[in-house]
Order: sequence, then structure tokens, then C-alpha cells
Amino acid sequence: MVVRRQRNDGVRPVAVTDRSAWGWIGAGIRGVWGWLAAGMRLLRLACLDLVAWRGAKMRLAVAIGVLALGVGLGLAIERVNAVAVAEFEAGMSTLSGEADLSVRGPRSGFDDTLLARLVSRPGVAAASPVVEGSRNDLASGVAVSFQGVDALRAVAVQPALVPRAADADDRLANLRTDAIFVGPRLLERLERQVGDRIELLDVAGRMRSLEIVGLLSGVPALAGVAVVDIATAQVLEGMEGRLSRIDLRAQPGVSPAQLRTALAAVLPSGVQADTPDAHASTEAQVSRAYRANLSVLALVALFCGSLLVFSAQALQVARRRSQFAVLRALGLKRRELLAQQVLQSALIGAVGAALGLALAYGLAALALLVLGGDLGAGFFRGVAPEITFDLPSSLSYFGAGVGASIAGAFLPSLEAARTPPARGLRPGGLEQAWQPLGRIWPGLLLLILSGASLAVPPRDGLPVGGYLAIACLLLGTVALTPRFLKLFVFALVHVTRAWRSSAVIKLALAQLRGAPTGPAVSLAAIVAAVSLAVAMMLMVNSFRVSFEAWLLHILPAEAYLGEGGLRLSVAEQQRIAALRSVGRVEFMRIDEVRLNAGRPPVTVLARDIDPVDPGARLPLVARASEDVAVEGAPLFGDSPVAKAWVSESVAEIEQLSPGQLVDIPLGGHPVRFRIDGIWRDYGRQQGAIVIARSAYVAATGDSVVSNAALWLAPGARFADLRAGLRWLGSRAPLRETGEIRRFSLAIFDRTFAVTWALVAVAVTIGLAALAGNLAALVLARRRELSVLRHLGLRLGDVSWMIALQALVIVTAALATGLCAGSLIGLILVEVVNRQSFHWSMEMHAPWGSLLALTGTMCLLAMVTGYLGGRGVARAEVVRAASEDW
Amino acid sequence: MSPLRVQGLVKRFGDRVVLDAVDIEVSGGEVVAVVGESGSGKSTLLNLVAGLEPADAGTVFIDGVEVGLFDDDQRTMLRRKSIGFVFQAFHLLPYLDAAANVALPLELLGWDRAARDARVMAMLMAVGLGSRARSRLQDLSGGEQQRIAVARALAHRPRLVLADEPTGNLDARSAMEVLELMLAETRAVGAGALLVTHSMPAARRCDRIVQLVDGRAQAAQ
Repeated sequence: MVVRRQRNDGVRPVAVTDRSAWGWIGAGIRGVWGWLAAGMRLLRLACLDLVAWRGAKMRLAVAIGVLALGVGLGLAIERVNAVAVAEFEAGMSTLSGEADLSVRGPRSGFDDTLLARLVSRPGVAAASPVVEGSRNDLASGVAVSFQGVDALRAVAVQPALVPRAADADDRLANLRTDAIFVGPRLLERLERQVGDRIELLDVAGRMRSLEIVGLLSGVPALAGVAVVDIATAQVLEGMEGRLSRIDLRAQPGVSPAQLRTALAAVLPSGVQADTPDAHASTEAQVSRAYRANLSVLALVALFCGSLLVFSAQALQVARRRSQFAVLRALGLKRRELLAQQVLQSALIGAVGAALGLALAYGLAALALLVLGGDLGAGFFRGVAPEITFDLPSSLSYFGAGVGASIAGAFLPSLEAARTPPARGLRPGGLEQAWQPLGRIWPGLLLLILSGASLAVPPRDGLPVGGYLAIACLLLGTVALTPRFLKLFVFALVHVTRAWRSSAVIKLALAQLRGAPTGPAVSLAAIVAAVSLAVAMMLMVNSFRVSFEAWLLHILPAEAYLGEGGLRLSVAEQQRIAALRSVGRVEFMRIDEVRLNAGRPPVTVLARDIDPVDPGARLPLVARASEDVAVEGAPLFGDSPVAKAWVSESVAEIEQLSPGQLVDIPLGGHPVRFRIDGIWRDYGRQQGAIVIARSAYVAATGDSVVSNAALWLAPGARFADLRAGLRWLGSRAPLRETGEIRRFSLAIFDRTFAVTWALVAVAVTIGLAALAGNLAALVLARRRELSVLRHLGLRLGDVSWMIALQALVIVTAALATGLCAGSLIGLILVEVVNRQSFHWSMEMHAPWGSLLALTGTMCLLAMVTGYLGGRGVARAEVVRAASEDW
Repeated sequence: MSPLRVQGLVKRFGDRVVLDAVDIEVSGGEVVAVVGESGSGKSTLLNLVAGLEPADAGTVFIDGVEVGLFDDDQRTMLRRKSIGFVFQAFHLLPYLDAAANVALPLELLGWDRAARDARVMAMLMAVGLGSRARSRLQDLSGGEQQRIAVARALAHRPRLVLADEPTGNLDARSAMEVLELMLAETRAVGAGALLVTHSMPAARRCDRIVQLVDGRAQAAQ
């Protein structure tokens, strides 16, 4: 056997002349060994070279810290979202037990005669009716969410909902109308024990006392709910003769899809059959856009970390230019130098990512404790998940951390490898080393790409185009920062030329004009952090101001009655209207309907509204041009159609526009409405439709209302109103409008608490990057400052010169960041928000916060510059110029 | 009054005595070469004379003024007005062109523009680079850069020029050209100069040679 080695330097594969199997195997082993040896050599070189970071410990620590923060925040939010959604979906699936299909209708339920019709259909093996509800415990005020089941039927479909009573002799406990089974977590919140009684008010205001006869133990998903007999649930919710859902089991050999097709004909309008899993994921979909946006925001820190590594590596490469040239001269190949530097960045990224993993699980546990599973957004009420370690997601975020570090370091490392050793060995020329990073075309290309990305439509309800546009805009801005700085300094030089400015100012500007790329490169992370902070501040502030204006419009009355499942009969409505303290009252009925299978239900708001002037009650954003509809009933056949006003979400999801006709399933029938306008609704993300209450009553025959808006009579006080409504007891809480507004704004602020936390992170990163990079820049100019001291610049002159330069650099960064941030904010408001949540809003700049941000950064820049300059220019450092004496 | 008078200058680094009672005087128009082995204290002597680090004992008079009595700002102002520096590695500011580098000491002294421009042009002409006033530094050779450095050191008509190995980074021909230029210009402005060098041919071109041996200054033959 002859195997000839061809210049095998440990990297090149060996050539094989012996074509036998042993020859191939031997060559293979040698090849692999060669690659391994080369890899080990590079790793050794990379580790040895890490010592070079000794002079940049702070910068390295900040970069590692920010990478850790990026990985930590991203993974923490991913974990919280994942466990919350998993528990939410598991809970929904558990409630449906072994059901193949769940039949669901509007919130007001559907006729219970449907059960008999379904049971008799071929393919149905078993059916179990359910009434869902929620009532507050009188003693503790804790909300008790319950499932009302028929135990005899539920055994075959949802056995978990038919637990055994604590008293083994009480065999009929599941059928008792005064019994309740409670999940352990709910029991703990109620501060009761098995055997105690709880009192719940039904919709009619009557007290129902129920005995806790057993625990829903062994099923984690049921820990926060209760189970009662179906008749009890119907009484509590005022749903006698009506059901919330029917869970079905198919006969062997019949698939859920076949069963659904078979049942379609008997299901009334607005009642749909779906698999429990599909239903759970549809419900979870409501929060998907919120979760996705939060995850993207969390990656901001990782992105900034990547840019910090870029800045640190770029400064390092520039500083060590001659060292790299010596290494190249001594025989280190170009690709080996590149590999060594990239490997070093990977090691730095690995340290940051490993720290980030530890941080993530701590942060996730803390977020669950403080904000809950929905991170304050209110999507998954009652869900209390626990954080678990997940290897795939942990590995992917670890990889993202390492990848971000490598991505940040790649360009400077490539530049280091490409620089001819002869040029690298020549003194000076730092600006030349940075010049490739100041090219204009990559930035312009990215800005063009950003604009083009806006045309990309959303995918699965996620604003992919918007995210892409933001990423390209941000990278493009960072790439163009050297140009912006150059232009800014050029303008300043020309402006100050007219003045009789001091030599220090002239010198400061001349230095920046002559060597702008270095400072600009170090500004990458600052520009990115400022842009993102400004964008998020702009978006949240715009939303908050618009939300406040919306609250003012949507809540015109002085007080509101109704919360939870209030039901007011016609007699009660008349009694309220007749109160001496009530000047005016408008009633509203809230229901939920399903316009399409596979989509979350839409809220129907049947209210007293003037069809000629709906804008008095609704914040309209569009209205039909011609007014042809006639208010009120009748609504069937060829009779004139009533008006409906759809929220922006409904209009976008269902592709509806003013003037169009829409069929809304009411009372088991499709009822046709003409869309008179589109209104802004920040209250219901899945959408809402407003119709006249008279139309609802005509379609359903149900004149019960669930809310009332009350205006005080002249001279009456709120206390008079409260006294007049005392007969309603605690079933109908009365609230002043101001209190509702404050409460709503508190919920808003809680929802955006995580966003503000991420803004704070972005600002902190910006400030850390600013301080670190300015200090590094000053250090890099040690010798030059020393020469100036030799020539007669005082310590104070040097300090002020550096402070002035820092101010100029940071002003340019802030101006760039403010411009880019405003554009990103615009994309967030007009593209990301609209495509994610289908909400419109007006832009409102948070001037105070922006002023505070810019002021803080300018001040910090000047202080860092002044102290940095002072430190470097001290007498002993003056000798720097004499190092070659 | 002589531009530089050093009396009994002592400098220690730990236990090591680098300069031990050094006395040197440089008259106006006189160029004194300082020679010595590496580590003999040549650089330390320049630092002490320039007021860049404090002496342990002894006094330095520049133009009759005792430097040791000054605070940092006063020493800086003294350097600005009365001293010119020439470094081995030129140390021109890379972001300024040739003329702006020469103009820098005048800018710091607040010369008006017309006088400054005229002086800069005169200095550039004197060093033979009148046509390269707007040249960027990377377009100049090492010899040309050192000529610019000499022009900068003398532009503000200092009383004393401190030069450390001003020809150390140059080839033999450029070195001699720059040295001759520096000597001529220093004498032309009536300044005194202290020139540290390893090169005996360069030292011999000076008016006097002082050799540092074991921290002591000796007149060399």
C-alpha cells in the first residue's frame, strides 16, 4: 500500500493512490487527524491570544455582560411564554378529556336541545354537555371559574371532571346541586378546606351556598378551577336550557374530521365543532402576536451585544494592527489569523451565552412571580405555570449568543486578516485600517432593502416584513454612521470657521474630521441602542396617549354598572332608569359569536346607540359614505338591514369595509347587517362588533343586559346613585368613570412593564457602550495626546478637547439614533402594530423622556471624555510620546 | 541669559541613580549633543528639562526661569512658549496636513491668521517643503515628515529645542540633511538646543558634546 502525502500541513487532505479499502480508511483517519490537529492548534492560538484583551478588560466585560443579558432576556421570555401556553393548552385539553370534538357557540350559549340531536347522529359514541362560568366567592372575593357537567355523561368523555368525593360514602356527590369540587390551587386561594362551604351569587343576585365535597387532585391543569353539577352551573349563570359546549367522542373508525362533516348540517348558525387541540391553539393564538413581539424585543439586547462585540473587536484589531502584521510576517496564514480571531469571538460568546442561560432561568422564575404567565398582558388568567429546563431552547439561545458574538467580530477579523503585513507594520494609518468599515454602499443597500421589506405581507398574523424592515434599517443606519459623523463634523467645522474659536475647539474638530471612522465604529452599539430605545418609547407613548383619548371617548357617562356576568332583567332596567339620581341611562348586552371556524370568537356589543350619530359613542376611523340603513328591527327577509360598526381587528381579519353586508350569527340564525363604520377598539384584540340593542333583542328575543352607562340627574351626586342602586347588592358593582380610567391605565402600564424594562435595558446598554467605547478611544489616542501635551496643551485643555469631541460624537450618534428610532417607531406603529394587533394610533413623541435620554447621554459623554482625557493626559502619561526615545 | 541651565540635577528610580548631579548649560545659538549608552539617562534628562517629570534634586532654568517652582499649568505654558520638540518617530498629527502641523504651536499661542500663515510658509520654505504645504502626511517620506517636525519645533521661535534621536528613523543621507537643517534653523532663531543621539557623526556636527556616564555628565572629546 502506498499513500503519498502531498504537502500535508495538517489542513490539506492527503491524496490517496492506494484505492483499496484500507487505503481509504487510513487516508480518512489521517485527514481527520490533520483537521483535528489544525483545529487544536488554532484553539491554542486563540486562547493564547486572549491575553491581548487584558488591556481591554472593561470593554470585554461589557460585551460579555450584554451578550449574557441578550441570551438571558430572550430565553427567559421564550420559557415563560412556552410554559404558559403549554399549561393553557393542556388545561383546555384536559377539560375536554377524551373528546374528539368540542361543539361551541356564543358566550350566551346555545339551546340544550342540540344535545339530543347530536347524540342521535351516526358516528357519535358519547356526548357530554358543559356549562362554563365564573362567579366571585362572597367571603374572599376570589373568582371561582367552574365547569358544570352532567356526571353520568361526563364519565364517558371527561372522566377527570368526575372526581370522587372526600367522603367515600357520598356516592352521589357529583349529582348534588349544592356540591362543588375544587382544584387545590383554587382551594388555597379561597383559604378553605374540604367540608367548608362557599357562597356564590347567581346572575339574579341570589346567594347559592355550595359545600366543598372533594378535590380535583392529580390533574395539574385543573388546579385552578372547580366542577359543579350542570344544573347548578345553569342557575348560577342564568343559562337554564342553554349550554356552553358539548364534548363528543366519535365511534371507533370515525375520524374527528368525518364526524365534523357529519354534524355540520345540524349545527345552528354561530355554533361550531372543532377538535379540543385546535380550539386550544385558536385561543392561544390571541396572545401569539403579543408573545412574538415581546420575543423580538428581547432579542434587542442580543443584537446590541453583537454590535458591542463588533466595536470591541474593531478597536482591538486597529490597536493590534502591527501585532497581527508581525504574526503574519512570522508565518501565520491569512485564514489562520481569521480563524483565530473568529474562534476567540466564539469563546467570548460562549462565556456570555453560558452566563445568559443561568440568568434566563432566574429571570423567568422572577417574571412568573411578579408578572404571571402572561407577563402582565392578561391573556392566560388562572394559569400558574412553573419554569422547567428545556434543552433544545437553551441550546438554541446558547447558539444565538455565540453566533451573535461571531457575527459581530467577523468583519473586523476579516479586515485584520486582509491587511498586508507591510502596511500593518507601518506606524500610524489607523484610519486607513478602519476605512473599509466606512463604505457607503452596504448601508445604502440595507436602507433600500428596509423600504422594500415593508411590502412583505404578514405571515400567520406575524409582521415578518415589519421586523425585516426594522432589522435592515437598524443595520443600515449603523453602517452609515461613519458617513453621518463625517457630515456632521464637516458642517460643524464650517459653522465654527466663521467664529473666532479657540485652538482647542479647532483641534478637536480637526481630529474628528480627519479620523471619523474609528469613533463611528465604536458608536455602532450606541446608535443601535438609542434607535431601539427611541422607537420603543415612541411606540409605547403613542399607544398610551391614544389609549387615554380612546378611554375618554368610549366612557362618556359618569358611572358604569356591571362586571363579570351581570344580568339585568327588563324590570330591573326600568327600575334603574326610574331612579331620581339617574339623568340618563344606556344599556348594553355583551355576547360572543364565532364568525369563522378556526378563529377566536368576536365580541358583540349590543348597545343603545344613535345610528345617525354613532361617533358620539364610538371612536370611528372610517364610515360608509351613503346612509341607507334603517335602525332597529325587523331584520329578516327583504326588510331593510340594520347597521353594525366593526372594530379595526374585525375589519382587517374578516376583510370588511364600510358599506359591505355581514352575517352575524345571533340566536342561532345568521342576521344580516350593513357595516356603517369602523371604530378603534383597544379593549378586545380578537375584535368587536357594535349593533343596536333593539336589533339584538329582535334577533335573539333576549332583552337581558349586562352593563349600564349612567349619567347623573342635575343636582344628584354619585353617593345618591350608589344609594339608589343598593338593592342590586354586590352582584352589580358600580364604578365611577375616573376609577375605571385609572384602573384601565394601570392595566395598560402593567402590560407594557416588560417593554419599559427592555427600553431600560437598551438605554443601559447604550450608556455602558458609550462609557466603555469613549474610554477606549481616548486610550487609543494616548500617544497623540502626549504630543499635544509636549506642544503646550494644558491638562485642562486636553480634558476639554476630549470632552468636546465626546459631545460631538454622541450628538451625532443621538441625532442618527433619533432619526432611525423615529423611523423604526413609525414602522412599529404603522406596520408591526397594525399587522399584529390590527390597531391604529396617532404618533405622539415622549418629549420629556427623549430630552432626559439625550441629556443624560450628552452629560455622560462629556464627563467620560473629560475624565478619560484627564487620566490619559496626566504628566506620567505625557511620556508616551517618548516611548521610542 | 542662556536658554538652558541645569544645576546638580538628580533623578533616582528606586535604588538606581539615573542622573547624579548633572550640570549643563546651553547658550543661545548653541547646539549641544548628549550621547551615552542605552539606559544612561538621556531620555530622563530631556523629561526633566521639559518639566515632564519631577527631579529628586537640582534645578533647571529655562531662559532664566526656574522650572521646578512652576505648577503643571505653568510648566505647560513654558513648553508652549519656550520649547520646541523633535521626536525620533516624528509624532506629527496624522489628521492634519503639513501646514496645519507646523501651525499648531502658533494656534496654541493665539497668533493671528495672517501672521501665522506667513510664518508657516516661511518655515516650510526654510525646510524645503514650500510646495507640500497641503500634503497629507501619508504622502510624505520619513525625511520629509521629520523636516515638517523641525519646522513645527521652530515655528514659534522657541528659546530651547529638545531633540531626541531626530535622525534615528532616517537613512544616512536624509539624516544628515535634516540635521544640517535643524542646526541651521536653530541657530537662525537664536535658540539653544539639546540633541540626544547615538550617532557620533551627528554629535560631531554639534557645537559641543556631553557624554552621560554612570549618571554624570562629562565633556566629550
